[in-house]
Amino acid sequence: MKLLAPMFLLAILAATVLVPAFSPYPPDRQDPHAALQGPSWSHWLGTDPFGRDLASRLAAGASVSLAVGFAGTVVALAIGLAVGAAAGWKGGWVDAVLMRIVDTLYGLPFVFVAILATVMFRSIPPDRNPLVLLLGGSETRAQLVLLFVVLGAVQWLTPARIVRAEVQALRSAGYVEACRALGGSSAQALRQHVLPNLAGPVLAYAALMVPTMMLEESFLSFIGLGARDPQASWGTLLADGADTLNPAQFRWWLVVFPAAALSLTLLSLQSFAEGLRRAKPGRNP
Amino acid sequence: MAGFLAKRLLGGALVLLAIAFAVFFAARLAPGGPFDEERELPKDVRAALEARWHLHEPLPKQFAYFLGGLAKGDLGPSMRSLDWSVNEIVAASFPVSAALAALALAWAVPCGLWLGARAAVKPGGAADAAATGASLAGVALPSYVVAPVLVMVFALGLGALPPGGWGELRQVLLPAAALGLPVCAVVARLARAATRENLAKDYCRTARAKGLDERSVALNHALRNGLLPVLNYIGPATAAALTGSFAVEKVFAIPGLGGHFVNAALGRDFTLLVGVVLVYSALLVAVNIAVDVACAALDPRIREAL
Repeated sequence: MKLLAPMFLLAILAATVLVPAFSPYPPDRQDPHAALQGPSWSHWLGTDPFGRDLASRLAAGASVSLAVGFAGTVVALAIGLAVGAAAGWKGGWVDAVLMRIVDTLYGLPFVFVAILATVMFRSIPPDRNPLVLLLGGSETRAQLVLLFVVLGAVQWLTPARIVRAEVQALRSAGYVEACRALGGSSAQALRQHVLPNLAGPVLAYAALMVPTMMLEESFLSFIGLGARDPQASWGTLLADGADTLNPAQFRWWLVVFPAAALSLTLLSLQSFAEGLRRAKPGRNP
Repeated sequence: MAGFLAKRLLGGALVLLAIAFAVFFAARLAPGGPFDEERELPKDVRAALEARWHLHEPLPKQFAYFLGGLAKGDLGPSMRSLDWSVNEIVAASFPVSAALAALALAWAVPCGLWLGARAAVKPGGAADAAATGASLAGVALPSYVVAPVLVMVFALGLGALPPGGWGELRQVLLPAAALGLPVCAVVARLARAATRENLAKDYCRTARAKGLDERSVALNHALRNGLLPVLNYIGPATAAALTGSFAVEKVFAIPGLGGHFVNAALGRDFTLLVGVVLVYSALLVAVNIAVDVACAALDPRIREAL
């Protein structure tokens, strides 16, 4: 029972690697003769209105969703770590200004910021878009990187608060004072004593952030502002499935499989993170 | 108390002003405008359109016009829906979104409280299992996953409820259920943790010692004292219900404000975009102030600290 979550995550990871390698259907190949077929031996999870194989698309979507989940977390941690450490270590007016900004941003729903940033990006034509040019002219890749950045940029607030509280506590710890008393510089004390002690609480929180990031990526994709056709993410697949729902014909597989993939992965990541947090007693953020 | 309220209202107004400023300039500094079409507009038509919204004037001047309108409660005409003012669009669709969010919270919060309290009274029981599962479901079952599944099962499979639309009570049930479920899960988790913590305290032991049964101890003593964390969650819950309704409105074809927001962003309808963000933000600021006031009303320690 305890191993269920990690095993499911491994299975999803294996599927993202193995399905593209062994499936006879590329995720974006359309086949008008095989449109809207239910699960069968040739298409295990059925096909969509364009005859694209749902299993292949789910596997491709998994890599997008997981990549956004992890990369977005890294971005958010980087910003949160920098801001939190500066505020906690410096104190005084630096702390006051930074935390005021954090408090104000907490009041604003992330969706507004994410939607505005996405729209601003999309309104720049690809041949003049700095992000597209930076990534060698690939618009789909730029879109993906934009998702990392946007989600990271709106989710750094809680890590910043956690890091600030930890740094404040560590700043007055005996061994940090000892390091300063022995003539160590600020940078040395930060690098050798404060940062290593941050790793535990920060990683425990990072594990919780990955499912949150995936949740938000799929929300943006669901309302049409995340990954774009032909690139699939679990959010767009679910939205496509919801669009095909109609009383005349019943295409359950287009809803059930994306919903199950997303929910079960989020559930596994969440329980895995909870497990990690419990394994480190005493320091629960 | 009055001083505290005045301070919070002033702070809220400042936050709204900052948001208006940020959204106004962010939207306008990005390239592309509301009148970019496949077919290039004739020059004089374009000039006339731009003159109507003062788009040919410098940005600070445009912002001044906008603030002037805002002071009169006028958000200006929509740039894409040319026959509509932003006020009209908001007046037509915001009540729909607000009613949906209110309905979702109205069932989710009491239900979560009940579930959490039950779980705390009988650890290891069915309610406890449900509340523990709920702490995971809050993340794993977002409303946009629940909504299509509900449509599939209850509307298409069983034919018991309509798959979408707005106006009748029957049409409201499924969207409110989808939107409330994640909120209910979080409330259940918070209520369970708070009730359990309080049940172990001395005053609860006293209550038991004087002969009160466990149910009354949990409901009248432990849960009441554990209400603060739940109350503090009402602000984020409102935000979750409002933004979650973007997706739920899409699934159930509900004519709410969420769809307008996404379309305004995609169509670069600056006036509508700023208007919608301001309306949502004002509501959230108001809810947060109301929550602070309610906390002060519930807890004398907070009241005295004001």
